[in-house]
Amino acid sequence: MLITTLAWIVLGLPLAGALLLSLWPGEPDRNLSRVIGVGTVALGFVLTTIVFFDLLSRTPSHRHATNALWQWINVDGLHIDLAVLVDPLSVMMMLIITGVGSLIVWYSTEYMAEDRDYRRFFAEMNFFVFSMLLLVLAANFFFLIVGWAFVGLASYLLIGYYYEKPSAVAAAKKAFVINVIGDAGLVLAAFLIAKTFGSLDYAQVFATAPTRLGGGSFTAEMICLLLFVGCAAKSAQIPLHTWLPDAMEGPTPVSALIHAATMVTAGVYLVVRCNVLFHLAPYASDYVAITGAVTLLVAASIAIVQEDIKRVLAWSTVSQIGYMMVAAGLGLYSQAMFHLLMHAFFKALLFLTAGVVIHALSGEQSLNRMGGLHRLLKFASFAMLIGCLAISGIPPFSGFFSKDEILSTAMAAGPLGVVCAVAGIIGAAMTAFYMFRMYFRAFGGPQREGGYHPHPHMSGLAMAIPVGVLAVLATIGGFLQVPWGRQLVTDWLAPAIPDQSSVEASATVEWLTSLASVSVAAVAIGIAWWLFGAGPERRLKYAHTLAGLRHVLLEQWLFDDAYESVIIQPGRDLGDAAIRTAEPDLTQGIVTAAAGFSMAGARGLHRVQGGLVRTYAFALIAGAAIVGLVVVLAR
Amino acid sequence: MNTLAAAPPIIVATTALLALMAGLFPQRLVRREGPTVIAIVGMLVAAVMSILLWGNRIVALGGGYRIDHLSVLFNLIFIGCAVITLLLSVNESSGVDRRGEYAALVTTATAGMILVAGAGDLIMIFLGIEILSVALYVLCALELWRERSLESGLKYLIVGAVGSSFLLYGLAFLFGTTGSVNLTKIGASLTQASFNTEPLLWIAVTLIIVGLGFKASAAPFHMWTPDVYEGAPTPVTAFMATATKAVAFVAFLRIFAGPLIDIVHTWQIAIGVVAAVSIIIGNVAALVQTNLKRMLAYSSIAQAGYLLIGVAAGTVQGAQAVLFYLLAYAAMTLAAFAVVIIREREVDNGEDLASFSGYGRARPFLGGIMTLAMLSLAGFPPLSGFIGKFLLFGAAAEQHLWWLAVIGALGSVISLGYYLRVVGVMWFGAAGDPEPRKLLNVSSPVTLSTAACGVAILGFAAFAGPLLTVCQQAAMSLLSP
Amino acid sequence: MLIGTLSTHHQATGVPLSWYLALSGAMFLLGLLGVLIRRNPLLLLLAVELMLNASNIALVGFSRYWNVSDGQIFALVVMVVAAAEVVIGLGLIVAVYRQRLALDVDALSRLKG
Repeated sequence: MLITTLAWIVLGLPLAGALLLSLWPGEPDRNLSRVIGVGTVALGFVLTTIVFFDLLSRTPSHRHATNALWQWINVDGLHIDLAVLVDPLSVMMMLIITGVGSLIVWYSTEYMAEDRDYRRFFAEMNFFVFSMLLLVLAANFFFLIVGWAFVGLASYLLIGYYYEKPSAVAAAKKAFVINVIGDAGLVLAAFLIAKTFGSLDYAQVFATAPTRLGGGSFTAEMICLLLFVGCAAKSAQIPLHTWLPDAMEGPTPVSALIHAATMVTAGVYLVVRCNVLFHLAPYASDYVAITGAVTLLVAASIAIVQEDIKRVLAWSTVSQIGYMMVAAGLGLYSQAMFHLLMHAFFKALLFLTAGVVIHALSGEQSLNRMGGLHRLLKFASFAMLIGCLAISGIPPFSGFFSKDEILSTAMAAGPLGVVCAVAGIIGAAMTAFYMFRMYFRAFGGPQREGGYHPHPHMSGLAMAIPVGVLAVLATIGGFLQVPWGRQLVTDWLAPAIPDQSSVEASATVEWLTSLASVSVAAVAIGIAWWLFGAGPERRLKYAHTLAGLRHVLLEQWLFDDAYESVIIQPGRDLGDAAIRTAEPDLTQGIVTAAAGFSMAGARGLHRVQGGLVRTYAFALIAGAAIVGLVVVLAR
Repeated sequence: MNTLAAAPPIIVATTALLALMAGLFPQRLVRREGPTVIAIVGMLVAAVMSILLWGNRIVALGGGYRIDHLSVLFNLIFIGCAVITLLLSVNESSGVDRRGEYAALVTTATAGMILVAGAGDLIMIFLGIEILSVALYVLCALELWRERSLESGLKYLIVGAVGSSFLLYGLAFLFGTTGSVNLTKIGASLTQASFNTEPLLWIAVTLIIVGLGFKASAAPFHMWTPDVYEGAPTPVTAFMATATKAVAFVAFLRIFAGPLIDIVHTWQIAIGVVAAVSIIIGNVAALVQTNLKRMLAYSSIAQAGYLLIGVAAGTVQGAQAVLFYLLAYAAMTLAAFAVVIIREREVDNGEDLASFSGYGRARPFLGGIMTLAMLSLAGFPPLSGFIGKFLLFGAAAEQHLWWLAVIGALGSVISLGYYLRVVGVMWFGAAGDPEPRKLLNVSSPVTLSTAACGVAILGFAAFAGPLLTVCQQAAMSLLSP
Repeated sequence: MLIGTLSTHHQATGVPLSWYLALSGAMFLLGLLGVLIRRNPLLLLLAVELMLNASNIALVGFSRYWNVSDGQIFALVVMVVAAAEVVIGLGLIVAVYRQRLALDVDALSRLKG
């Protein structure tokens, strides 16, 4: 079948690119790295559009195809194929990955131009694109997990790209560890699924789920909760969110691609993909929505006090994904995907523009040392403005339509929905506030003291065009799905999401919510302009008065400290204790007692030296006693 | 006496003698290369014999030794590990005059292991394990001029002898309870029995778990492992970490998944507890290690825990998972140790983690193999370690031993802490050594076997399908007498 | 059939089984104690020998009880194995002595952690 063959090619191209670039003997020419690096992804995008149009030409019920390349394991009771699934959901994700991906990779040909490890960067980016495509194209849970793990590995490599910086290496490790916790959750979910359904194949599982699981059963809840552990880790939702801000140690294109547009949205993708399962697990779905709501508020609050331009964007990503999770948890799957698409556009735009600024200022990332860039970097200023307007949900920019859809439909989705919608509106105000805080501090006001040396240089075409394209998309993208107008996204995704909630907001609710969110956003922008637009004096005055609150926010609600003291340090201490104290002291002491007792009768007590062989023998005996006890008790 | 069936152990034992004699020849060339060559050739012949016997079920030596799918599969595992160990110690600068003894001892140990794999009664199990152990005591202490080597050999001897006595006592009680040493007959008498009134059986089961757990390096019988692994010559350590562990598990399977299967509910929790403790202790203690051999020792304790989960499941799937994971484990552990061996030949304290700083960038090939091994050991998809763990924990989940599956998964997550540290140090660490000594010092057999192990890690993953079929057949042969 | 069911039938001619087992158990525990307490490797080997022979006694006792020869054969095999182990042990002890190290397992503990 044409589309599945094309899908395999799209999957294979970046893998081939990554292998080619890593195994190339000697140092390849920079142009070669550029061509291979961008070419594979761009070609993938072209082929994906062909697949898209092919699917479009079919009737909705026929818009899916699977193809197994290799019957990998076919043993009694275990049947896993290397297979791809091409359906509206996976094609939508593919378009984002290859489309936005190729723009970002092209951008990075200039951004990373001064880096000496040019080919490693493109090899790793290609590997990432391959992993992400594997994740969304997988037709069964096993290869989903493989893609999931590979994406984590690619993220580790790319975050730790500047491996000479210890902070980058530490951030990479942290991201990887939290990701693996998510992997463990996914694997446990896979066991449950295999045990309940006897198969890991999407088609089989989703088809038989309603009959086998029954709504609200314990198994269904457990499966979905475990799946969500994986999603929360990958999408940086509370409490597994601490890795994302640290991940900003990686190069800016990496942040744009991985930590804005694609990898972090994998969690949302998984929830939407498993909509059949989540529909049968109301408690788990509620938990997803609640997590989303809490995350969007907490992350927004932390973003308000960030000084590093990339960190503001990182926390805003966490917050926006919270919106998507709220939607997914409430059964509003296509709305979640719509926001995912819009977010990909404007977040990539924001990151790439931030990259333009950083590049122009020769590596400066701190808002403290920016200001008045509007005159110097006009293009970047406009692009950033569009991005900020989009994310704040100001019409007619894209963010308005997607966020609004979520908020108003949530309002009509029951009490939990109302709570989440209110949280979302508050979050929208905070979003507008911190985004424009960033904008005004960087671009507005007077130039920083001392001016800029050397004079900020504007970037070349390779960086400007992707920014421009994304700016246009962020402006008009919203018109894909207009209330009471066409619902292109929902219609497109319908075949893949049988359990899409059919809740619809009434006209009044729709108007009221839109009005509310836009007005609070506008007010927030106004306050931001007043506080930050004129110069540092006003904001410094207020920063003093709210110092305590600022401290909590700066310490990111003390999550990292909590992890350090509750999990990490005790783990280290336990390891040390097991080696240095428990072994010598504990068993030593008991051996001393045993020996002393037996010899007391024969001769006087004498101090048992640190004998080791006897300790080991004693441990053997103690173990024997324990095992014996268990055997007897367990009978 | 069915000579054909008993061919594998006989061939290997004869090879051992021949290798020993070759080490006494006057000509220096024969003395230096002869034993290793003879040993490798002889063992490969035995391997071929075993493959030819695949599919047959023969009983030899009056019921003592049997050929079935399980014994053939394990023969191949043991011989593979032994051959790679011998290849890895080629041209080792030390012990040139001890070639004959070294090769003969490794071969003898393999003969013992083959006996255990095909064991049909308790005597054979004990005999095989003892042959293996005695050979290993000497192998550990072979570098007599190093105090640590001697210490490791002596420590292993004493603690090992204690462990063996526990096992023997347990086997004695098992004999005493059922009146026969033959595994089939034991199984038959246990099916009709009522376990609850038989205290001797409880004692037997407990002692056997202790004795075999000691051999498998399971906690809390593990304490000898880090010291002995660290002190012994590294090729011997590699041998111990892979082949000996496999022996312990074939013994577990032969006894527990065979005759004792009908009283599974009694020992299932006990073995589960031992597994859980091993996973926890092994992973936590490995986090603070700076010596790579010690770290791998603690890691192998945790790996024994994962394998015991499969034993505890007590089903054919469990046994199948154990077999697959043993294959994968042998490949990845040998690969890791091989890289350590190569490093030790280049620098003085090659077994320290610090000496691997930047090694990956200096030698990408070896760095790649070590990375593969570490990731596979950590259970990173889709490598063979992941598949094995997936099957092991799945088998436990199947039997509603959810707590075991969760502990296993958590243990894997924790284990990333130290496995990833090795990978990080190798690729991102500052290059400490100004220039690693030339690769020429490392002879081709060593590099070849390292490469072979790396390929095996990938190959077992890619060809998991056919391998699992083989393992399933082997597991099924446990059930029928 | 397990031993429990059998004991009601068996006529106690000669030494009853329980005495065998008691002796065997006592020897095992004594050997175990020796391993825990003794520091000289030679004496540790002795203690291990005690433990192995304790199993031998149990084997012979059971063998007689069930009226089969399996246990006795097993015991013979164990004796051979024990002898081999002792030989190796003695060889190692001699090697330790030759290296001028103290014949004290407590002192031989450079490997730890």
